[in-house]
Amino acid sequence: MFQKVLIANRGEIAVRVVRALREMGIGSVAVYSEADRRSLHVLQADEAVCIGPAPARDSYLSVPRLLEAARSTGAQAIHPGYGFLSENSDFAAAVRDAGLSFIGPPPEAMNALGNKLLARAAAHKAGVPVVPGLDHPVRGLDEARAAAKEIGFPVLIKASHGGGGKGMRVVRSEDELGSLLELTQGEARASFSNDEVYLERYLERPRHVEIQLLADSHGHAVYLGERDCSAQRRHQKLIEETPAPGLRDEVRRAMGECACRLALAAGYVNAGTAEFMVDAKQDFYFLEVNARLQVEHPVTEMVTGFDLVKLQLLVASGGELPFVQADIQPRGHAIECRITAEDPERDFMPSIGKIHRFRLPSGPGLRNDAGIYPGAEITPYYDSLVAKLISWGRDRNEARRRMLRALDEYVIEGVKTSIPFHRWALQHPAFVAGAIDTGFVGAEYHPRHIAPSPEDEALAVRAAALHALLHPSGASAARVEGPPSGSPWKFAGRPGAAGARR
Amino acid sequence: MKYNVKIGEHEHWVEVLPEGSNWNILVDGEPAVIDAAEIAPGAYSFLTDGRSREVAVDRNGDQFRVRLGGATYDMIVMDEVHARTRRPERAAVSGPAQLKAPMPGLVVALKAAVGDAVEEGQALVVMEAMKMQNELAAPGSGRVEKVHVVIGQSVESGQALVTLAAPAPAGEGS
Repeated sequence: MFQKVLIANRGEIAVRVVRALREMGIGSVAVYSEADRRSLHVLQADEAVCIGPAPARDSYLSVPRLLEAARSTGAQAIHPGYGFLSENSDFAAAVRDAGLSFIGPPPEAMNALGNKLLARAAAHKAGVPVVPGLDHPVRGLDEARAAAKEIGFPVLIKASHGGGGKGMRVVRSEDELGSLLELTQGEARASFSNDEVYLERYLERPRHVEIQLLADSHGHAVYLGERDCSAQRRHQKLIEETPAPGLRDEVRRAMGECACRLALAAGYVNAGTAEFMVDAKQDFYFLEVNARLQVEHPVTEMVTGFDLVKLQLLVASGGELPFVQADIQPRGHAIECRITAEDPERDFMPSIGKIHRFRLPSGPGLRNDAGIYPGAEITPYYDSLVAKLISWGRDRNEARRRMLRALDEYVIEGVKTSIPFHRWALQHPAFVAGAIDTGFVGAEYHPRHIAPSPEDEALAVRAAALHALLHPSGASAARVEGPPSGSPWKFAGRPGAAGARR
Repeated sequence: MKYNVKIGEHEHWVEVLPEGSNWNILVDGEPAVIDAAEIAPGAYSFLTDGRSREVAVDRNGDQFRVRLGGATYDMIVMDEVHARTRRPERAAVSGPAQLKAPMPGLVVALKAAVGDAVEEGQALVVMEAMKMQNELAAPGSGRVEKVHVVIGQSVESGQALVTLAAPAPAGEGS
């Protein structure tokens, strides 16, 4: 096993990895940008190295700086977390070439299953169902026309190097095809430096169900159940749960076995997530493998009892999986809510500022994975995910009610958060019934659903007047957060620079 | 003590009176007796009719921000004297309206050009911050008078993005 591991990430996921390392007695090295000197992952790691200025491309995305930090601290392995460089096969290769271990799949397997078209080809070979469509890049408009007719409208144009919900367009009729094809190719060129696109059938409102898989370097692969991530807004997941409500056992087993077959065929090692779309008849279609630890991995940990990060470390150091498929017996139900610094009343606009009051919910059946603390600064440079709240229950309804109770306990002041949205979603009849699909949030959510009651507004007015009386001077002015005018940090990020969070 | 509280479109007169160890706080004459304990600076535990609520108040001059039950309320609070002497501020808003950046970020798209007639709520600028793209909408209807930024430009919070001129009165022009 390793003695020291560097975490090439920040925020809650870096804190998560530090926790696993500490429990295993392994030294931890945090890296941080100049904007993150006071971030929680820096405070919690054994060692911390500054790797450059705030913009991610100069720090968290800088391969030379990360490798230099590993060299100077004597770390033997690098955990990439999610987002940033986690699915960059060039980075995985550079880590390996530097004589270090990459805590993730080999770059070849990452490419084979992470690129959408290559993943389709691998799926065909392994007998895994995919959405009907083209298996090669579109070569011209005539071919696209013929293919679209065969597939049947609506079709989806997809960039084969795309991700994070970018580089996709729905075409509803033949006369839109030409212009949308050009548009998607242009976007793909700009965002992914590659204009390769292909076509597949567009499924209206499928469920998003993914399989957690784990493979070692001794030819073993297992699946640790599934996660339903259908509660999405513009392809960004908001709520995830396991098991997927109402998913039939034989469907779950078939999906799990498909994921393992794919992993073994591609020489995949370490944790990964096979993403599927599932339709109303519970027919499933493989999309791609997210070749990394997933944001929502804690729900799987809650029901299986396994620590996925420890297993990642074990497998990356050459160890054998200590259990077989039959040993994996999930128990109960788990739900995760992503607490993001976004304003659900204003179109989920990012919200920045200083956290001045922060109290986490606790009590039975809860887990908090937070990257913030009172006094922490939320900057505009990185992802808006600041914490994750996970609830466990003996059944789905207990997990759901426990989550609602926990959301009521949650105190976070200084930025707007997604908490009011979660409260709404968890009480929506369709969610309660376990009957949502990926169109749920877009079709059902409106900010007026989280508008406060007149009684609460009247109480807030009373509180303001009382505060005016008790603090007549406005002495607490320093604590009023707002946009940090004249911020010493200049925002110079690049679109999508921080990579996709899925 | 009596206060004038403006919240959104609404304006209230609020009277705060001590009542034993509690407060009777009347909103437009409607009383509510509150047992208030300040548990941290600006953070209160309220017991009203036995119901327990936590509420936090921040203040910057006469601008107040109250948080209660996960919601945020922004309001302007003035004591009676100031409220009665203040000049009506809204009367002067007939000049050009400006769309300003709500946060630091990067301009990734412009959806209107100089001379365009735009409706209130129409997307004018797409900004990226925290990896997310956000459409910024016109604060009112009018004609685009000036676009202050270009695609790819980094902007600070509060920086002007687009200036709108009031729409031409009906019948004027071609």
